[in-house]
Amino acid sequence: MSQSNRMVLSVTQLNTYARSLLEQDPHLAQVFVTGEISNFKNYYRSGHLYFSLKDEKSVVKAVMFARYAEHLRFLPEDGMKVIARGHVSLYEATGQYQLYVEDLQPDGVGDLSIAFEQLKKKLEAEGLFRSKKQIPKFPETVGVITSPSGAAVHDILTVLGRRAPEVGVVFCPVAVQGTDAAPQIAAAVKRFNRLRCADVLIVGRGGGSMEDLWPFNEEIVARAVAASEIPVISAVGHETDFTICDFAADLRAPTPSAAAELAVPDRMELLAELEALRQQMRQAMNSVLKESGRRLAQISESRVFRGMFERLELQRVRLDQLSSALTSSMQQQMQDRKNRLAAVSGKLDALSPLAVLSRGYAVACDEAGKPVGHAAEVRKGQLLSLKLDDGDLGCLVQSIKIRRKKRSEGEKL
Amino acid sequence: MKQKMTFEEAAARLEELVSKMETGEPTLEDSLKLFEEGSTLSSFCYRKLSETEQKVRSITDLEEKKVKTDEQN
Repeated sequence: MSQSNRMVLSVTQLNTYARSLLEQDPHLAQVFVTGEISNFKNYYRSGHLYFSLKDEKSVVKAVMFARYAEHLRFLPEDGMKVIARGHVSLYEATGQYQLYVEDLQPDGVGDLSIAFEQLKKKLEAEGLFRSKKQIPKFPETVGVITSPSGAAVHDILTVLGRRAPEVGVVFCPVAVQGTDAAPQIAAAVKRFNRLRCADVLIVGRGGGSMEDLWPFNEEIVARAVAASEIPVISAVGHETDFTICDFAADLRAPTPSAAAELAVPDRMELLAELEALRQQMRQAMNSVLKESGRRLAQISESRVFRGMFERLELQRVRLDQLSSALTSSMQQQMQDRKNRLAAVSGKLDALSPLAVLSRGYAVACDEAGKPVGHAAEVRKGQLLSLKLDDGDLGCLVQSIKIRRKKRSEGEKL
Repeated sequence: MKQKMTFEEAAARLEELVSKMETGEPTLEDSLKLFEEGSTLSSFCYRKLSETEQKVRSITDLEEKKVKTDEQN
């Protein structure tokens, strides 16, 4: 190879050439590489992730651009074993050959499990799981946030209706899987809080794969649930499924049906309790009454009271005596008056002019019926009426003889 | 009794006055008053529990209703 034939390349030309070689290689266009993450750097502003992958002997640089990184559910960290999918190329500015990662999967455990642990740790550190509100004992209304089509809503309504038909239900249908689910669930919790239309919320869904339950592991749901002023019962999947939502909620129920049982008291039990309370109240009242009666009896038996009763009795006897004395004195007085009246009317009888007539005397009356007292008042020939005891006589005056009375006697009259 | 009492408040008050009566401390007159109140409360609770038809409403209806009343006010 002669000097003149030698091709002199600029660094850029070299790197560009090397890069084109790498990019043309069909084997390097899509590779899966397993290794451990080291030197992890997260440029939050750009969203690009820079790290190295290494095994026991070697290291390769790797970059994951934001448009890929945003689909990651977990945050890569140093020491994490991963399988990276991507293509190989060369960064001309540094001549660094590197792996351009399009997807990253944790090696061994699933990415969801890692994402779960990471979010749980983060929210735990924030204290999001710490404050738990009391679930009301007797809610008037239960809010239900779940899918309108799943078995969960049916189970919840059935249990609520059986245990506490008197409790109202407000239902907010949401998607419980897929990308819309988490924002819808979070929004539903906020809607209930805005309206204040429930005393307790049930948030959940029936069983499914971890992928299906994933919306309940999303940060937006956890934050909405933790911020809810209305107590939240979380009921996602089956007994063995734990979600971030469960931790953020005030109470975790193993299943949707169990959530309904935890949300409302059993009507039959309540009725029994109420009846017991009523019994207790009656008994308490009875014993208060009995006790009062007993005390009353005791007090009436006491010496003070007995003395009082005796004095009262004495007074009563005296009163009786006085009142009968009063009655008899009244009667006596009445009798006296009657007697006096009889005496007076006897006298009156004796004084009656009619009584005089019965003894044979007569009264002379003029034409007008006026008694005639003096002979001088009468003319000769005048018609007088003579009243006798049993009848009247008409008499014609034939003669008049005037008798002179003693003067002194007349003066006396 | 309050105008709009909840079952919870009524039951709590009922429990409270029963235990008060059970101490035997209130006078006969006060006990009678408590008994009367307790009878009212327990009938209220019974009445609440006697509603046997489940009422399910949708939150959207409630929101629309609220918007309407807000507009009226």
